[in-house]
Amino acid sequence: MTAAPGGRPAPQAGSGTGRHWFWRVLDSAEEVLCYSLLVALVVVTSLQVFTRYVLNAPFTWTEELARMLFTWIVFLGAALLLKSSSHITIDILVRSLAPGPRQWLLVVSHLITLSVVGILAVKGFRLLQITGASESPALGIPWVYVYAAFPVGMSLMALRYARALIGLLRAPLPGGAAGGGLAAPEPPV
Amino acid sequence: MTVAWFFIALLCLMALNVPVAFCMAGVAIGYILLGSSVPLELVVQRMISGADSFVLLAIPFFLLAGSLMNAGGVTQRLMGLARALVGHITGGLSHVTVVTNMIMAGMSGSAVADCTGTGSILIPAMVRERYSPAFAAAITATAATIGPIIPPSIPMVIYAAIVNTSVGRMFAGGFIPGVLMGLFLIAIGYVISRRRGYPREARPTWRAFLVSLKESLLALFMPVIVLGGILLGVFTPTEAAVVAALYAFALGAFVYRELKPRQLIGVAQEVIIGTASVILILGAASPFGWVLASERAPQRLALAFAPLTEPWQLLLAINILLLILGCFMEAVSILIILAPVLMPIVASAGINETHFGVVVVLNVMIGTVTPPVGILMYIVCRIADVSIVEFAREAFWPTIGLVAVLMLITFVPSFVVWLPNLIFSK
Repeated sequence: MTAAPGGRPAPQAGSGTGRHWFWRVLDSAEEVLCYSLLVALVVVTSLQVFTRYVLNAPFTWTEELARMLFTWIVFLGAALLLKSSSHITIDILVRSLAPGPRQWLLVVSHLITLSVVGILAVKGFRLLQITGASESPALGIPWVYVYAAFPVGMSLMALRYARALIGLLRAPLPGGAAGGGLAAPEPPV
Repeated sequence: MTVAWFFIALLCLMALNVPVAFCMAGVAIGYILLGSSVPLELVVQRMISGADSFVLLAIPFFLLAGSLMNAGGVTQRLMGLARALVGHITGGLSHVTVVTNMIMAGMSGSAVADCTGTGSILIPAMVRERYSPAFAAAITATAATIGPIIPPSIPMVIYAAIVNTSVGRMFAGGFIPGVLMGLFLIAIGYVISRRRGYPREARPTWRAFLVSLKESLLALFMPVIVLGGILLGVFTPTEAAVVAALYAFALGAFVYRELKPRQLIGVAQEVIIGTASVILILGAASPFGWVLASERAPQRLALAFAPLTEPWQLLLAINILLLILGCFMEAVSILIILAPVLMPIVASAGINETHFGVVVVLNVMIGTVTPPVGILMYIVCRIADVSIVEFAREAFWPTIGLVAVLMLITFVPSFVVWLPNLIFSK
């Protein structure tokens, strides 16, 4: 039931051969980090099940750590979604438009999304300052490190939306390529 | 400002192709900027806490289980069993699709995983046997909606987290409706196949049947462990999901030996995409819900529904509303936006929350196969290479079948609540 790159002409990850090294490094760093977090999550939660049912002595910290990892996966993964255009969007209107108006609509939609994501990123960093030095009960990990997932993810997303927006503005009118979630043309950055 | 404006703003943003999560966050930000003394950090704080709960951790693991089953050959074994069970009936492969989805439903909890797993094999198989591609696509998509109805179920986990009810009761409540959906789809597939002369498979010999049973026996243990564990209260849903994922991994990697290390990256990608896209919306629904609550939206909406005095009238009205929305919006978004608003109204009419939950989840799942927007429809149209119009024509009767089950469980609550009451009676 979840989002999947269904129905859209999914741009293949890494297919943009002309990508600047900066984006390539950023993309792979993010992916590697996300996969590692997922593996860690699987290990930690399995450990919880194991200690509880097999050893009959559950660790107190596994649930807390699992939730922290989950927070990071969600917000870092959200930034990763842009690459495969898998954010859940309602794209009937975009699909039904001619290439010209579609591009304008995408520009507007990117502008709005960029401002929302931008505000969230800035306010996210602000929240970190307010959070201060409070720590998690079981592991004593400062909450700042957990909540940091939010502004970091949002900043990465803002960066990508800005780049896509520039690409949209620079690109000539597309020749009828079916547009999906994000900008159809790969920006020549 | 009236509540209607929030929804209008939300719909406008959605129409502009802004990701649903940021539509909701955007409305909340706009509300605060336009005259509320609350600091904007509240939106951030609510988004983070809305995405954080131990129950929600079940979602990546149920996705993981589904992906691993597809990658590790578990799905194929189940298909073999389904073929031996129902393949020899007229329209055999259509029923094989339905039955495979029903068995997979007992393990994966994700309709997208079920749909991709069964569709990528069975749609080409049906086309080879001269089924119309659009029919193959239609029966696959409608059968995949059973996935989140027969437990375990990701949308049910989300519903339970939102309205704060028991996941176990929800799971038990979905069982009978899910089986009904399967039976209806088999009947409809049979009638259509009869009229069009679609083929049946050769009746399997006892030997062949026993071989397919033996092949899939270990896979069949999975629903027993997962559901048994949750329903008997041994596991929390999250723990059951972890066990399901580990079991699927062990089967694929060590028993069937089809899971290659290379595939794991694809699996991880599916899990991260599936988790992040849904949980982000769930997080953003939290500040949006706060805005609605501070404008007393639920109370106002309750007034709008006030003329509907009988519970069945209320449920019918909500069903129609959700079915229409389901044509245009993504399933989980509807669930996340509307469940918290509708729940108080429904509760004050004395409607059981498990009953309502299963009705809503089934309803939004129908939305995944109704054009113009529907995730399962997109997936099968791409696999079968048919247009949405062709799909819609063939999906008409199967969808009517699903709506019939929806009406049945709406008006006869026992279909839903009998089993949970039986299992969870004190």
